[in-house]
Amino acid sequence: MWRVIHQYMDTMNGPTDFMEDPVNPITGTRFENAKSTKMVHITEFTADLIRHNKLKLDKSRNDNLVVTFHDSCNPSRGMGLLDEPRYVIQNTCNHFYEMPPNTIREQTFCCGSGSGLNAGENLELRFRGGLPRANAVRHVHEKHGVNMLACVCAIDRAALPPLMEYWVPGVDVTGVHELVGNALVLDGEKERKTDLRGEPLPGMEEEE
Amino acid sequence: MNVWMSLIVSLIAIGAVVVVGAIGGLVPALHPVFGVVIPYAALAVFILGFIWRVLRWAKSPVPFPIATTAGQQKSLPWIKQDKLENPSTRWQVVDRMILEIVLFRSLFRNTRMELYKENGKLTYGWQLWLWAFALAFHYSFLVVVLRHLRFFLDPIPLPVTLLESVDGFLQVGLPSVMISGFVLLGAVGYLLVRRLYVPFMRYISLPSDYFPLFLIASIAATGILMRYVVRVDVVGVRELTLGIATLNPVVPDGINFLFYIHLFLVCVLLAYFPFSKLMHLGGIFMSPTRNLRGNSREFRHVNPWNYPVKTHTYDEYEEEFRDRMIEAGLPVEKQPAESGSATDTESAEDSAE
Amino acid sequence: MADEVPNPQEMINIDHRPPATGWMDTPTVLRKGIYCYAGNPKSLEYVGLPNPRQWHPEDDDWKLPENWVEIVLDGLRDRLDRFRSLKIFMDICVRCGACADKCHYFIGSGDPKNMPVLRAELLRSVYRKDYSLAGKILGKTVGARKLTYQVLKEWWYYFFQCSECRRCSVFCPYGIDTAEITILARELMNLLGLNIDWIATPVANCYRTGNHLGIQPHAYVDMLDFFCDEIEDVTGVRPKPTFNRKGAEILFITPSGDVFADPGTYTAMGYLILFHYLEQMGLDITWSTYASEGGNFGFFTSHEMMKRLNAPRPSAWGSSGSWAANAATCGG
Repeated sequence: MWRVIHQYMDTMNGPTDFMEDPVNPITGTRFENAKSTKMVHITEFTADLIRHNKLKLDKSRNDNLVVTFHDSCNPSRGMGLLDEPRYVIQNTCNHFYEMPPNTIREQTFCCGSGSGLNAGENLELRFRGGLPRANAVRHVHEKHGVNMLACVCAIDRAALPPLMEYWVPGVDVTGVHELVGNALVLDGEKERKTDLRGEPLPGMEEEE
Repeated sequence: MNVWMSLIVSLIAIGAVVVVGAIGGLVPALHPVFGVVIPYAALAVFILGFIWRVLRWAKSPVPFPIATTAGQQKSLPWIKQDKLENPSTRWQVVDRMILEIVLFRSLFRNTRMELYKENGKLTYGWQLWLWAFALAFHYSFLVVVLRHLRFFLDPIPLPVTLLESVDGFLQVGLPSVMISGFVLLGAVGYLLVRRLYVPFMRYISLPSDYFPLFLIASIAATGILMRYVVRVDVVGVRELTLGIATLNPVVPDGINFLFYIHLFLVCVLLAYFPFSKLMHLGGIFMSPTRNLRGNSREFRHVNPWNYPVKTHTYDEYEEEFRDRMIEAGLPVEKQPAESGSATDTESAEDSAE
Repeated sequence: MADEVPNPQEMINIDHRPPATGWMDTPTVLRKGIYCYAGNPKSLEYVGLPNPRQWHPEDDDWKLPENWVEIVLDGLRDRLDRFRSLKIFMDICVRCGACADKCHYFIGSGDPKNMPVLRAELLRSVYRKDYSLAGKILGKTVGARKLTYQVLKEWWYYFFQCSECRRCSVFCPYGIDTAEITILARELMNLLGLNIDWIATPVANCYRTGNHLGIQPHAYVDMLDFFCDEIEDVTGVRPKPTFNRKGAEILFITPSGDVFADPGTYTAMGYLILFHYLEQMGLDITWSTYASEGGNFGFFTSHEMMKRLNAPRPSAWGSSGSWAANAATCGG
């Protein structure tokens, strides 16, 4: 719904003068671009933290993943959120490959299930509509061994796994902040043996 | 309507226009009508129609800032914004619009999808032909129109003469060949062939897509004929056109009927323009996905018809879920005792306390 | 369901050549596997959407109000007056075809009515019939046609085969945005109670519980608690999220899909870990059970429904945050 937040929300429900301008309390960064709606995208927030060296990240924990990034349609064409999620991904994992240029950023392809078409009875439509996206993933899967498709949209996380299973078996789907959660080194944490999915971390396979 | 019907309908229409124009040229008694009355009427329809159309668009507001963002947004200071594709200031919008209108930026992106069924792969190759020919078409048309100012202005302004010498720089033939007319005809030919040859183009095309192409092709063809093949009394023609321009109409004798066909075709184009897809000329300036800024979280866009709607308020929400919220340890505004929804048992317990 | 889907080898055998008959003369047949089921009448009723009833897309009779043509045409007139975008997009398309092979549904299906230009023509043809003199007189010759039952069914079928992704609008030389046309066409169809359940029911859920999946506040807390267990297992550290806490500096809103099903749940855990990490550094953040949806399926229903479902956000903020960080979904 970033289209709604970015292009509609302030018009519909604003003005939000009673609220303070959004400032990142950790870095002090003022989110000038969101000063009227007061709505900041989580990857803008996290990218800012990483840029200011506020996060202790162990990228190697995501070394089992070869990641590519799916631009969700409306964050790219109805907002322009392109480099923020990429910055977060590149700072949380070591293996990142882009899909071909005509299939990403402002030219990205839909997951095939957007705008409420994510039902069970229209799977054929979803797989047909998702073909161009899946095809581009297949390209980097075959060329670079990509096994993880990252995205910033919850509908994508519901829609893409069956699409991948159908067209490109062997590629899983993740949210950008799952990568953050795995890489982030917490104070007082124990030695992590698995990632959040319970899969062994790189080098921990034998201990399982 | 299939392609043959569409072609037949538009060809008949063009044929009719040409015949009517020819009659106007061949019957001297009709010269004042076809040389003066119809041109004035067509011009009036064009100008008033164009204004009416633009005002009709302008009457509807733009309720939401729906720019299509085709590049990186303005966000954190260290992330490079794509100011042309995702403008955040009015000047950046002006730049985007100039690129769009002058260079057809969006069409420049055009790709062609190719499906290889044997290995199931899709490719998207960069396709510049449509962009190139569209550009050639519009610019040669513009040059032709500007060159024709020599018929409406006296003395002929220097820029028009300069333009002619650039246009005729090849210096072949006598009179020297003006490239723009041929480029125009060639580009129209490409657009027509593309419409007919590419299956999906044929499928989406309407008679109202073929008709303007035939119309413009006929205008270019009759113009070229008059310049290079059939002798036309240019002095007489200029007398007539200058008369129109100076609101002092005269109808000289002895102008070839071909000129009347040419002129009538132009009149039809003018009168047809405001009621057709050709209005994209005006529409592109007002297209909300292109002429708005992408800074909609930074500055509030006001919707003139924004109206209050029925919502589910927090109080209603808490009213329905209060008990469960308390159970889950969530803070609530009202305790069950004060709320109207308290059940009898709860009230009983309360009184027991 | 899944076993009725053709296998990938069959699926890739896509024919992009249009049929021999013109598109207006090619009847639309609703095909199973392509359309979604009709909206549940209870969901429509709950939020007061018109004409709640049981109906099936393949039924001949869609149980429409008697004056449905009038409702649609009045609705169209009203929207032409309120949206300049619609007026301009109805008027200036030159059918250059640049958009045709940009649509993922056309690429994947080969169905010519999935080309953005034709999808828009489905509505444009009716617009021409009723709003242009040429259309009234010349009809089909200028691409105009009457709004019939068959046309309405075609609308429903194809405007629920557009995901409002706007890819075509990037390539259109005039910026014509099919998403805008689909949004308004769906809005018109909703006036007659023509919706799909995968939108209508999340809308009703969201109105009631604050999220599409209908997760009630206590369940929402439970789910996040479960994630905290999982995180503790993996890291040995337990995040302590707060909910509906007044005076928090930041309100965090995420789509309910991420608290409900894998793999989104792992992303939700990622947020919990990040916020826990930052809380040590002074971050003051809370979650809301009332504004517990990052998406907005109202957007796929009507502009009004979008506004109604968006309302909890600023309201939840008013009481608990000075600004909001949001994860959210794509379009709506």
